[in-house]
Amino acid sequence: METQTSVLAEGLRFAYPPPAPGEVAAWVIDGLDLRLQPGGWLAIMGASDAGKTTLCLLLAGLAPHLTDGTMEGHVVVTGRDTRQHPPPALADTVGLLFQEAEAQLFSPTVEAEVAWGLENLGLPPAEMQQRIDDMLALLRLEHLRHRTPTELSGGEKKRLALASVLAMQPTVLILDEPMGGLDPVGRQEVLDALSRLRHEGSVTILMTESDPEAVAAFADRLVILDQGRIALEASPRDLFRQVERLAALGVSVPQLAQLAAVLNRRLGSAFDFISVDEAQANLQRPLTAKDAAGAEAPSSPPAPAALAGSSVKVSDLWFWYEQESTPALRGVNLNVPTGQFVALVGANGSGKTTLVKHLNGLLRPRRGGVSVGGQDTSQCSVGELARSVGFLFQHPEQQIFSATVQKEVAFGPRNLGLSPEEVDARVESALARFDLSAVAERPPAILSYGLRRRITLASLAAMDPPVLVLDEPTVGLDAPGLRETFQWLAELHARGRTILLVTHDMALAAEYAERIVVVHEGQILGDGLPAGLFEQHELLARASLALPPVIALGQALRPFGLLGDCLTVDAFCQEYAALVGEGS
Amino acid sequence: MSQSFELYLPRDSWLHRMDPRAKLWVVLLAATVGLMYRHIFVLAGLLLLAHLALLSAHIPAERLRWLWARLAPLLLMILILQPLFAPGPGPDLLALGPLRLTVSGLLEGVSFALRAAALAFVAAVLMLTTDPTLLVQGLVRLGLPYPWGLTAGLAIRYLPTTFGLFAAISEAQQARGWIVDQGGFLHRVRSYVPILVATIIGALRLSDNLGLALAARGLGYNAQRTTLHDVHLRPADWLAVALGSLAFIGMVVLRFGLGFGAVPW
Repeated sequence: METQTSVLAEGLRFAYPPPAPGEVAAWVIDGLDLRLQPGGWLAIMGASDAGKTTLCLLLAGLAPHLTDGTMEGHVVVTGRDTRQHPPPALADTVGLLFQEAEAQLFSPTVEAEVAWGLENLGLPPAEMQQRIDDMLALLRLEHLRHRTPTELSGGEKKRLALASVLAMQPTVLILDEPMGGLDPVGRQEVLDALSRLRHEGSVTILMTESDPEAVAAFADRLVILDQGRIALEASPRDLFRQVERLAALGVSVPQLAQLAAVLNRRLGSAFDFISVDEAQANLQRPLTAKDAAGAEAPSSPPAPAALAGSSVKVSDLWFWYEQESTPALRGVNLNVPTGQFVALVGANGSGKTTLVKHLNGLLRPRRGGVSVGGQDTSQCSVGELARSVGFLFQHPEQQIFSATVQKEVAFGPRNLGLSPEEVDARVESALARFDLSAVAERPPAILSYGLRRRITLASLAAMDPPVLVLDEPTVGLDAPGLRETFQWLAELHARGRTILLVTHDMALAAEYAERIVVVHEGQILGDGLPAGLFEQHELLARASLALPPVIALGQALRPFGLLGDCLTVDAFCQEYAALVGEGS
Repeated sequence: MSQSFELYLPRDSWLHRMDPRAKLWVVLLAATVGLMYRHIFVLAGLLLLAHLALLSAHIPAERLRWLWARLAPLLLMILILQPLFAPGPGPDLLALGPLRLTVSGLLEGVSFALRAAALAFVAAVLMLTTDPTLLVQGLVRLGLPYPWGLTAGLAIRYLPTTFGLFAAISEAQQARGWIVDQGGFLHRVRSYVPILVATIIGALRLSDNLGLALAARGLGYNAQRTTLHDVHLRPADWLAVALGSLAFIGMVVLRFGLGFGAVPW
């Protein structure tokens, strides 16, 4: 009787087994009803502890069979109740793309990877070959057929994982954060793959995603999950108008939807747009075209003023991982004055991470030199350099190992050889700063993701290094986490700390950095003030970097009198309001 | 920018095309010859043969150099320690207190080092040129249950991943000022706790997720499992098995019937 529904969840509640005997198991999914019609594309957004991945596992029938835990209510996928059908029995009807590429690519070659699921289904070799050929063509992977999956780029890995799932011809496809952790090149590849999927239109899709631009591009319905319950449900366009409500739920909106909301509040207007084209059409209406002279870019701004004393000095740095391999860095020169906030941008494999790993001696120059705070790094051990340079890596929660939060935060300061009193004082103030005092004696392993992320920030804060390096901090970070991290960075910056942000998120770089350094193929391709750099379209394209939407919009509106040098939503709003006349 | 730790190198060559069972058989025979003989010429010949096989299978010389570089510390240790601690009979070339260096001891060292290198390269012939999927399939055909074969394949696949995880976490902890304790052995081991604990947690999480991914892709689906590329023994494979076996019998006769090759020289 439910043949019309692809996925049905009713009164769904789920709790993982309690972390320790005597602890209370918390409902991760807490009373959820969901109905998905064939051919639909449903997006699910929410903060990192909202229960998105757990919901994916439940809908794919993997939980509770393989995760243990308590489930109430029921899930029916294409007419099959997941309680009665263990995971293998659902493999021909529901496919799940996991967040982590590492865990789902386990075969020696690309072809074998796609074949593996088909072999389990018991398909004859000829049909397998046909499906493999089709999938590799659909996802543009033919040229990689005999390559090893671990050697592929991030975008290629995601597409291969997608091909392996799609080849099994599921009627329901569940995608868990398909854009997660991809650089701009990989992101574009996966976006293209998804639009081909959308074009085919034969499969029902449910996708959790933090990237609002991707949600806006594909989903026809959006559900906001909060503490295991559905908080909001509507079309993405309708929901993305509720900027503040979504922010409170830990969900970010497309940059231009945010701009529309800010403008509407300020001007009392009723703008409604998500894409640059829509926004341009909307915003140019109240404006009049100026003569061609107005369309030119402003003269390039002056170079950053030289601040007193350089904090990081890299001169003619060359590095290669193995003899005879292509150098990862080729003659890099970089001088960062004390107190500067610099963004290092570039695609994956450009050499950004290789460069910053030289700052604390994790890598040593093959040629050239690096000094931090006046110290030549070749004369110092990694342990000594940890005093001068703090690092926040991707997925920092992976480095947590201590039995209590207090001990975890004390690990760094203790390594620095500080006196016990000093260590205690620093740990105490770091715990207080990140609101962790109440859980100081608890084991970090059983705390929520949000708390563990704060522990890693507190651990770094307690070391209080003069130079701070952040390597792709946005990977795996939800909106509240991002806000928290950057609030803290702003504090540090105000206190004169030097900050190097490694990122491919251009909007983030535009908003926070005083200076942007573009790294490309092991060399510095561009270096300057953000406003000036965003004018160099060719350079950015060469480095596979895209303009943040609000900047692209500002530049597109130059013929209408905008200067087009606004880096943030607020700055744009300011200038636009001044141009149309406040409140008119 | 990460380095690859994969062993298998996909190429199109006679060795890659050879049935994994036939290849396994010939490699096992060759390894047995390596263990039977101590004669330097035989071991050097075996080593040379393994090199020729690898090069003819389009394995780049760079990869062979890489393997030599990895073996070098071990070989060097054998070359130095074996002659010094088991000098053997014969006149001293050199005597330093209780340590004696003799010609026979030196030859013994060379023989042992050659044997280690030959066995490593013979194993490389199998590992570098055989698709692990096909190897598992070959073993399953020989009677190994599929889950065992899969488990073995996954263990090999995830060794490098776990190693990479260890390296990443060790970098993260070094950035927090962690250094290896320079004290005694126990101190040293204890100082690795911050890395080992985090690595084990990470590896367990990875294996949990891997279990989910295998199930999601239909491991244990209620059907007879099929295979994309079936392994089958072609005439060329039978020929290789026959020639390998004949050569092996010849070597057994030479060694035990004629008594050749029991000593390094």
